[in-house]
Amino acid sequence: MDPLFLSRVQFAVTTAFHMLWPLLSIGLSFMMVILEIAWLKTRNEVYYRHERFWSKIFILTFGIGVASGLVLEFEFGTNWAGFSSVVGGFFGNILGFEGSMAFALESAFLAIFIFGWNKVSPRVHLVSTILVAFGASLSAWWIMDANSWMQTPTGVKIVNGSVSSINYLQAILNPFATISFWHIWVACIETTIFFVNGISAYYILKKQNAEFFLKIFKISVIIAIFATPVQVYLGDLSGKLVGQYQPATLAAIESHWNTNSVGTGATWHLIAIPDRKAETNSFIINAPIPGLMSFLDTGSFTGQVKGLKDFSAQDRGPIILPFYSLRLMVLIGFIMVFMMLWALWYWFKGNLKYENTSRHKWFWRIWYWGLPFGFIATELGWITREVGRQPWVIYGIMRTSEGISNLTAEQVMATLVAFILTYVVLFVIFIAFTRKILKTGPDLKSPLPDWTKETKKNA
Amino acid sequence: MHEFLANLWFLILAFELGLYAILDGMDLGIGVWTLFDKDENRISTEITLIGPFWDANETWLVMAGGILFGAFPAVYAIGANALYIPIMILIFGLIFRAVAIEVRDHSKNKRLWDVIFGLGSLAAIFGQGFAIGGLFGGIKIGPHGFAGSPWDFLTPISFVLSFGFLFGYMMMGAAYVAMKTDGQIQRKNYSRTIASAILSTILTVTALISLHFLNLPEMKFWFSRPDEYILTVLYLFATFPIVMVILNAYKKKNDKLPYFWTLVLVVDAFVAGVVEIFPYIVPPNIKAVDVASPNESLIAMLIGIGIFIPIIIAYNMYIKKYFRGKVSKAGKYGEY
Repeated sequence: MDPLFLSRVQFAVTTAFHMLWPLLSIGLSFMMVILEIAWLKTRNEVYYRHERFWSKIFILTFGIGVASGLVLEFEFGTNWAGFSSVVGGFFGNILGFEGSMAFALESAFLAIFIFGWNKVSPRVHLVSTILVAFGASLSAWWIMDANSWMQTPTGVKIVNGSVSSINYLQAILNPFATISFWHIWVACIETTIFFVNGISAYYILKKQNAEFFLKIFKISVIIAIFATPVQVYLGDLSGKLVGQYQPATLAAIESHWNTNSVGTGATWHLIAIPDRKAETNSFIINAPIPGLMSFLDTGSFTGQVKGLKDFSAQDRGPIILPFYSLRLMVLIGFIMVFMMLWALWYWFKGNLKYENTSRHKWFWRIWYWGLPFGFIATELGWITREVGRQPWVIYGIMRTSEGISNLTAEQVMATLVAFILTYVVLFVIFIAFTRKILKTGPDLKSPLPDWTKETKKNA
Repeated sequence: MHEFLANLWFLILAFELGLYAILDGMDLGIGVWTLFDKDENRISTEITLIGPFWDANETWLVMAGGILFGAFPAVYAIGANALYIPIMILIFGLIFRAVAIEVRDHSKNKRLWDVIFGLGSLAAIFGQGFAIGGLFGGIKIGPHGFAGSPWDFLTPISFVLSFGFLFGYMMMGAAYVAMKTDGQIQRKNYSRTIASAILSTILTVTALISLHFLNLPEMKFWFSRPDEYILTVLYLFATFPIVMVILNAYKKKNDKLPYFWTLVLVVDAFVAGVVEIFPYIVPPNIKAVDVASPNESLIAMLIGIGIFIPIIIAYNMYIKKYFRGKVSKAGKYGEY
């Protein structure tokens, strides 16, 4: 095995693992803001209890997120020195912006968010909670921006192996940046509400604090009304952008070999087994709607979708991985929309009333199983995006093989094994301690923050 | 203009790293001391002290990484490539430290997480020492970037620096705990402050003498340049704060003074380090200006990072205001 392959696997493992945590911590921080505002507005204790309960999981998530995120910042240099030395003049700036504008803000105000309940006024605490959530989301913006620039590298001129001039507006607002950010941000929200509702469904099935968790379940369903369909729309936009800026990637994602001739539509494959040597698919199951691929990727049933044969063999990336990961992601995305609709229907029928929660076991079971859906869909989307970009590390400018550091295979193998072992351990730890938090259940008794007593006395 | 911007970023980078060493160094030092503790309550108190701040303190390392990457991409790339092993030691150390802090409170087996917390801190310190030592020892560069072996960082200098970081961080950690606690735990940490101050002194003196006599090729750089005079002054000055640290920790009258003097000492040592290499970023022959990004990039970083540095310092100080005073009893994580 060569250090290039091992470094790619290592980067994939470390990114895929890291991503799990911000997905949840960005979404949960947003949830905390909603809960804290609801509490301060209504003075209904249940919102405060919820905020404290979910913040326990948030803290754990954030800790693992920080620890695993630090890895990535250094990995660009340790494993991808070729890439880093060429584009650092722009790419490194963006990572620096993330640190100074977002991560610093989030991690500093976290101290007040976690430890400040009895130290600061409710106003200062709310502002801190908002800043934590804002910092977390801003962090996602800069990271997605840097990654989007690798996908659609505009505005940066590279001469003699380093950045020579930069048009910051063009580079920061590169074609993928905005849509990609919103796509991942909504993914954070969606992942979190399905996570939260999975846990709520678990409690409701166990008939433990059912009324308490029904509350958050309904809040999440309301958020899902917006999040799940918007995500489908953002996904569609992203797909069309890929077609526009990375036609070779799109062809690989669709396992599409021959460009459709003018006036005809390209057929969308539900299942395909590509044969690289024969430059065709050895097996396909097509969608029954003619011209569906053209429609999905261009918006018109006769739109032209370039086939893989239009690109030289060395510019074609892997096919099977992005082809299936995209389809699975889309499938899960639609399941999430249907689960939202199902919950709404049940709500209107009155089935979400506390006295009815002991019925409709299947409804709650399926929502319980939906707990990891967001994580899985996002990981699949990430695989589509990153594998789809291959063989490029910076699309059209630098091949992945040119970005590598000067390393020995043993070196990378050792750290790769260490990362896998560490991450398995961290994952198990997270599950074990989250289960412990869930077993203990929400704390409904400990005193409210001190200031609530004072306001009561005054009133 | 370009040289000014490049040197400015070199100094901002040094400032960030210095701040990191002071803030998180203290956390790591406390971590190492917990390895010598058996009393669960004492360890809980110590972890409660750093609980709210360790991640904000780690931010400075993240930002320093971003600055190095953005302002001096070739140094970041070649440096991280050459120092693969120390950087990975640092990363794994920080991972386990972070997880131990977060998980310990939920766990029944506190002892296990104490050990992981301590060893993680220790690994992070040695990772830093070996990385800086490897950089100071010189990096072999060929036409395609790094051209040395992955073990090049193992030099006498990197061992000296690693132990220097270790003792310095331990001194800061102990002095900080002494300042923020009272009773038996405070007395214990006064003694620890003195012990680490003495160890630092012994290390520095023996290292300076032996490195001088070893006459390693990479050391010629240090002893043959005009700022040797400034260095001599800084080294001699260091004896003053170290005496003050020991004296104040021994007298136990003012609990803030030992910590104050450890800071003076660390700053002095850090300034000495910066003077030693400035304006070279990879000694002995790559200057900051030779490898800096173009001006527009350095200016964009001033806007996107530079002006945020005072703001970050300001809000961190604002937050610390709420955590003034002593931690008397070992609270649960989440209750300062």
